[in-house]
Amino acid sequence: MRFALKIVCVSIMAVALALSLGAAMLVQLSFEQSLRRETQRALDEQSLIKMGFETAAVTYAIQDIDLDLNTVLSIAEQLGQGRALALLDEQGQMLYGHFQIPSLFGAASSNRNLAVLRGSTGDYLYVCGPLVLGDERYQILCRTDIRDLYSQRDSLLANFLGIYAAVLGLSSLLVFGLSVLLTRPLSRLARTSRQITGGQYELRAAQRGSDEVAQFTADFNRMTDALVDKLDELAQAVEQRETFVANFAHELKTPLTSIIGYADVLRSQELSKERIFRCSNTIFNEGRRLEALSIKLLELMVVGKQELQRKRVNPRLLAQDLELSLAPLLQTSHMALRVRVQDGVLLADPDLLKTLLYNLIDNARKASEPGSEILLHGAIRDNRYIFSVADRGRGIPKVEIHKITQAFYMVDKSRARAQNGAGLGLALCEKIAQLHGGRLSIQSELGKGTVVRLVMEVAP
Amino acid sequence: MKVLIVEDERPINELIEMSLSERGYLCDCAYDGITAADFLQENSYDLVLLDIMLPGVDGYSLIEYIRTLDTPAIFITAKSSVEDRVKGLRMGADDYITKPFAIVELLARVETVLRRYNKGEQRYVVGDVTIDTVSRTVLKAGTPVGLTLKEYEVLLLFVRNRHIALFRETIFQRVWQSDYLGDTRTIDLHVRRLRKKLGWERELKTVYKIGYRLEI
Repeated sequence: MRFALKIVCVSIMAVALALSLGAAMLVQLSFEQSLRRETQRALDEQSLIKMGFETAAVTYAIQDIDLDLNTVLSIAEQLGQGRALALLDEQGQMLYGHFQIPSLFGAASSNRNLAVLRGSTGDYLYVCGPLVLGDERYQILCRTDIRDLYSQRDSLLANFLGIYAAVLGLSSLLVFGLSVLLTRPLSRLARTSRQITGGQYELRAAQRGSDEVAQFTADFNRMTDALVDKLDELAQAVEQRETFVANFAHELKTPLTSIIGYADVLRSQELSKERIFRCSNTIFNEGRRLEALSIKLLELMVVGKQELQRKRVNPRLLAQDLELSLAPLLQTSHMALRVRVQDGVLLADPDLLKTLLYNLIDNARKASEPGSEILLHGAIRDNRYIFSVADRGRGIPKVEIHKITQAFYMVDKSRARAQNGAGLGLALCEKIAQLHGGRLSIQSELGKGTVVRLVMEVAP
Repeated sequence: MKVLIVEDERPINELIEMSLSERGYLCDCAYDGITAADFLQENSYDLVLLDIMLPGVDGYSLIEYIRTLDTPAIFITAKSSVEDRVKGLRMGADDYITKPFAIVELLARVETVLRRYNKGEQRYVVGDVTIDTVSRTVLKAGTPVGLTLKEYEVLLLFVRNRHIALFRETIFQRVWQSDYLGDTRTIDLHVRRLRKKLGWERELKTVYKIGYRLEI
């Protein structure tokens, strides 16, 4: 059942109840008032008649006329002109009257009696009262026609029924219109949510005003935003994983193809010495490449899984260590490392941090020509420790910068191959930086060199 | 027969080039998509072997260009999922080889594609033996030799891979199209029959513990 319809039903029931109760009470009250008025009039009339009898009796007494039954009847005759009047004796026997006496008024009583009797012949108000004339006791019974009172009430009720129906109809329409108007934002919201469920994730519900529905709409939109964000995140994660797996498969299959192929040639053909050297050299090199790939991959996986061993580290001492371990590699490449690292305290895993900087410097080495210089700089700025590794190497094309931290991404594949690169170094660096709550940023100009910065929080 | 090899991995490119030249194909090697397109523009090839992930122009773009030249092409790629294969074949490749591949397989597929385009060798003359691949007949010094289907296929494999030691498992995989489970007798029997029927007692050499080699 529609919500608007529910509202209509409930409010119409309430209106109907209130209206019928009110109207019934009103009609009843006015009827009772009229009845009271009529009764009063009947009582007055009865008193008037009684007085008429007594006055006539006094007049007869003055004229010394005997007050026998005939005389009384003639008085009654006179007074009964244009009135519904009956005269009863003490036993309730009718002496005079033109109408049927209800059995109610039989025995004599000293009190005045009132009765409303409704019958098929009509609705009447009877007033009965005692009358004493001389030694005789009589009863006077007056009848008033109150049929109008009842018919008035009935017509009032009938009229009311008409009004009642009209009011109910009108208010139903009004309430229905209003509730449709009130529930429209809800149905709009429902439609929007169905559309969103159907896949139109960019859709949002329109928000008007500031009532509960508007607040609900705002909450709904916020929820949808959060869900869509989460969904995007998941989709991105899935895509990243798929790309990773695809790239990994590619990186694995390429050296394997060479190794298997050249080994197959070696085992099934008689080759010249020079050919044999070329084949086995390729197998060796590709095997080395696989080795480098597996080591880097293992590092990348372990870094994600292992608990971080955070210690207080002085970056200057760390850089000294690093300089020592890099010295042979840089010497064979004929490059110099200039270290300018300030004292400071970092909360970091020293081995991982060293791996990170090692990789950055190694990247710089690979990008540079022999004889050039690499600068490792470290300083505190704005309560943050900033490492930077700068080289004057070949640089990175602008469009590639945001991609180079992706696993297996290589700007120049053949060059990376020649240096046994697997395209995992920067992915590893970024992961380590993230684990430490740090941030890696790369600035590069083609042909001029690259600066990689690592920003970390200083230990408290 | 001219073949263009498009493959950015130098060792793999050289491996293919080496194997194909060994069997008498003339090869050009391109290491990226743009060079490949230049080669295609300047020369006409009987076949293109094409990697998909290439620097510059990728294999999918190249194959669209190759199709306009009506040159057969085979994809050689590490992308091995069914969707990738279907995509590659839909785009007009004549075959799809996934890395890592066996050289014998590569050669067989190359020959199959060339034959489909009526470009492959239709007649092999080895010593006094002539093999006609169209009518599937084998003549020894002018007289027909009766061979069973499998004997014929084993013979063709040897002829196409002369001077190369064929491992029993390779023969089994290529001719019987199923995995080798160590049953040497079937192959040995077929080789013995071939030797007898063609008089190749010395030419079809046994390579100790490995298989056989046709030396002619």
